[in-house]
Amino acid sequence: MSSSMTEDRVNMIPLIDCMFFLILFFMIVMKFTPTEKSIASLLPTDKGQMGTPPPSVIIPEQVNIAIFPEGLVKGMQGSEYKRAFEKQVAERTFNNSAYLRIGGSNPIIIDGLSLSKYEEGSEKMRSTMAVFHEYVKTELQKRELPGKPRKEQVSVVIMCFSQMSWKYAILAYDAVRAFEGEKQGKVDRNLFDLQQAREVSFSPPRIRNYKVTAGGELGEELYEIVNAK
Amino acid sequence: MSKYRHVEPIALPEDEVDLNPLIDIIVMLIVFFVTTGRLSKEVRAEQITVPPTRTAAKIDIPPQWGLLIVNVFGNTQTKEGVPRNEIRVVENRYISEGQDNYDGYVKFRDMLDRTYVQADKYPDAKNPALMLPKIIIELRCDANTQYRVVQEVQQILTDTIDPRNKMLAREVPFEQLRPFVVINFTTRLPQKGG
Repeated sequence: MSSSMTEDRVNMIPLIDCMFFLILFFMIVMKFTPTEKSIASLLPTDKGQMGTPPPSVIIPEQVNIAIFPEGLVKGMQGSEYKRAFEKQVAERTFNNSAYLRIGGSNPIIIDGLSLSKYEEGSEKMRSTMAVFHEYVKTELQKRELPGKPRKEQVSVVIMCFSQMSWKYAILAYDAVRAFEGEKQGKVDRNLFDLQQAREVSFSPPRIRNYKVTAGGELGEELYEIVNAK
Repeated sequence: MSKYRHVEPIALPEDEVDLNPLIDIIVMLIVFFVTTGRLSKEVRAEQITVPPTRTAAKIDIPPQWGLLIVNVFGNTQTKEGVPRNEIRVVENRYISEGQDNYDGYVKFRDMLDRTYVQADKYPDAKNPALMLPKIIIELRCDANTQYRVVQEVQQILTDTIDPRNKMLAREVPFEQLRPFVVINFTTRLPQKGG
């Protein structure tokens, strides 16, 4: 009986070969990436280097969130800011952390390294974000216009030093959105939500090589951001 | 007598290995890869690690709207080497390499102009004379991309800056601008695995 069974059996070797090729193909083309999500935003059409002319000459009130290298303080000249920036670059400490300041309040330090991919899911990353969100919440609450709808609240402008990483600016945007979400009971997700929401934008465009002074372009830019009111 | 007949296992010749368990495992592996893998038309550059945010969510694209994923990374100024930034849309790469080089930006804007012409449009709420395309731009920037690059890409998207003219303001009547203003910034949640 056993000899007749052996004769009837199908040769499985080609099937196994094909399967190995399939596995090899999937293993090579597969990428395990974390699920990405999004933050919705609506860029203004009446700001920037060119937009609809302002209805009046009165400069609208706004809340500035300034983001610049840690350690820089108000009251220096553009050239001094430039030197301080270059020193941080030379010492390889630039961009490792940042000062974030809302209006005239005292800045807080954001540890940039704790936001890196190597810290994903860590308590350090979560606590850095939580501290900054709390800071933004407290500062924006102080500047809240009682009784006004969200769209009529003072607009927020995020002013980030152009050489710094995007992660700082988007963290600031995230914190403002979290505050607005708390106020509205929901986070804005679609165009209609955004059209009714408080205006939050990134700092007005900065033309490259726009000014050549002793501080150079970067020194002047730092002067404007560090001393922004 | 039992109603079930006892079946004798198939006896294999002594020099043959039973391949059935191997095939079972291989099939299971294939099923695993097929079910967990994501094959997509959307091109997401792998070297990008998007920054963490707490309010990130999955945003659905409304009907009649299009989605354009724009991958951005690099810098415009560096102390070491040549500054370089890159914008990737589907399989197209727009590279600007060197100090004050805008080649990538020019090509990127050309692509946006073509997309604008083809897109359905709606009037801007603030200025109805300005027509906005029904395209959502998913701006997928690496966490360490220089802020200036992201800022300049946003300016090119809103068509307020002219990369063909040393990044100065666009000199056309306001109504002739071709801005893309609905932007989704790609981020990830701070929890492990996104």
